[in-house]
Amino acid sequence: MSFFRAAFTLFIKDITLEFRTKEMINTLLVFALLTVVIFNFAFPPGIIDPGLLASGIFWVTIIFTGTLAFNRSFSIETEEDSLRGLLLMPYDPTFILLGKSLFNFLLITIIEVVVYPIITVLFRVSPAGSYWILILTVILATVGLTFIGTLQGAVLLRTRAREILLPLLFFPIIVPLIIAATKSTEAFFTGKIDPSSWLKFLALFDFIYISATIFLFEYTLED
Amino acid sequence: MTDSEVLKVEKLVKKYGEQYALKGIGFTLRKGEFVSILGPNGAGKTTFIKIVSGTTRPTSGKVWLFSKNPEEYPEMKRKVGVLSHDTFFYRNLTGLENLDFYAKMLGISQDNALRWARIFGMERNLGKRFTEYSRGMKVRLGLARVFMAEPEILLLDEPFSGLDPGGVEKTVEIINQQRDRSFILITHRIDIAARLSDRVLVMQSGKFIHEFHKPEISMEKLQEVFK
Repeated sequence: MSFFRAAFTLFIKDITLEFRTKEMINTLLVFALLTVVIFNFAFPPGIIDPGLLASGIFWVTIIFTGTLAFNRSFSIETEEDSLRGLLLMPYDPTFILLGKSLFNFLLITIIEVVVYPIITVLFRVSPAGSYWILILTVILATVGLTFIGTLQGAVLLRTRAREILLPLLFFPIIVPLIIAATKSTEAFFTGKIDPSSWLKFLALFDFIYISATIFLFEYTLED
Repeated sequence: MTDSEVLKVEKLVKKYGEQYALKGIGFTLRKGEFVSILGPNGAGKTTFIKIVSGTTRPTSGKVWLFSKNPEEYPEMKRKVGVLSHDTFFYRNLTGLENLDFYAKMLGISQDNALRWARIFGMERNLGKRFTEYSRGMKVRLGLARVFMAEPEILLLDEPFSGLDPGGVEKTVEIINQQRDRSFILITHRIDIAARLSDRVLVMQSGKFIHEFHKPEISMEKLQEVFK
C-alpha cells in the first residue's frame, strides 16, 4: 500500500509543479496543434480516404508530442538531485516509474482530447464506429506509450544529447503499438475493418511493455 | 554483524570507468556512535555515503543495514536519513510543500515535519518558494527533512556549509541532543569533528588512512594529519 501511496504522491507533486509553472502542457499543446496544421497543409482533404488519414495523423502527432513530454518528465528530478531523494525512499524504485508514467499518461490524454476534435474538423472526418473503440484504443495505446517513454526518459537522463537520442530509441520500439493503434482508430473512423484483433494486440503489447519496463527500471537509475 | 552494529560494509569497491572512487574499504557503525569522516576533495567520502544510503550500487563489496541487505529490503532505508550537497527539494514548491511531499512519501505526520522545521528555525520561511532560499536556509530545511523521519542512522554530508556562525552552533547543539541515534558526519570542519565524534576516520584516494578513537581525538592531532 505504501508503494502505491508513494507513486501517487509523486504523481500529485508533478501535477502541482506543472499547474504552477505550466511549462509542459502549454508547450505540448502548441507543438501538437502545429503538427496537425502542418499535416493539414501537407495532405489536403480529399486526396486520401479521410478516415485513413486522420487515424495516422492522430497517432503521429501523439508520438511526436510524447517525445517532448518523456524527455522533460525526468529532467525535473535533476534539479537539486531530487531523483536521489526519491531513491532514498524505503520502497522498490519502480514506484518512481509508476508515478511518472501516471503523470505522462495524464499529459498525453489531455493532448489527445484536444487534438481529436481539431483533426475531425480539419480533415472533415466523422466517425463510423462506436466511440468505445476510440476510447479503448486511446487508453491501451497511451498506457503502452507512457510506460515505454517514461522508461526511456529515465535511461537517457544522464546523457547529454537526450533530445536527439530519445526518438531514436523510442520510435523503433513503439512501431508495433502504433500500427495496432492506427488500425484500430481507422476502424473507428471508417468502420471498414474489425478492431477487435488490433485491440487485443494493444492489450498484449501493454502487458509486454509494462512487464519489461518494471524489470528494467532499476538498472536505468545507476550511475 | 552483532546486535550493536547498525551498519556494516565490507570490501567496498566503486569504479567510475577506470577510476577507483573506493578501494575495498571496510567500516562498521555501532548504535549511538558518532563517526566523522574527514578528507580532501575527491577522496571518496560522498561516494561512500551514496553507496551506504543505497542510492548508488558498489562495483563490488557488501552493505548491511541492521543485518539486512538494503537492496533486498528497501524498507530498511526508512531507518536512514541522508543530507547531501544537493538538497533533493523542488525549486518551484514552497518549503512547506517540499517537506510535506517527503512526509507524505514516508507516511509521516505534517506535525512532525513542522516541529523539526521549527527546531531548525525555518517556521517563518516555509511559505516561500525554495528558489528564494539562501544556502543556509536550504541546508536547515534539508536538516528538518532528515530529522522529521526520526531515522536511527544519520548520514550528514557537509551539514554546516552555508550556515552562519550562529547557525553552525545551533545545528551542532541540535545534533548533540540527538546522540541516541548513530551518525556519520562528513565535514571539512575539523573543530566540529573533534567536538562531536566518538571516532574520526581520515579518507584519502578511496581508502581510510587514519583512525582516531575518542580519548585521542583532538584538534591538534587532526590538524597534524592534514599538514
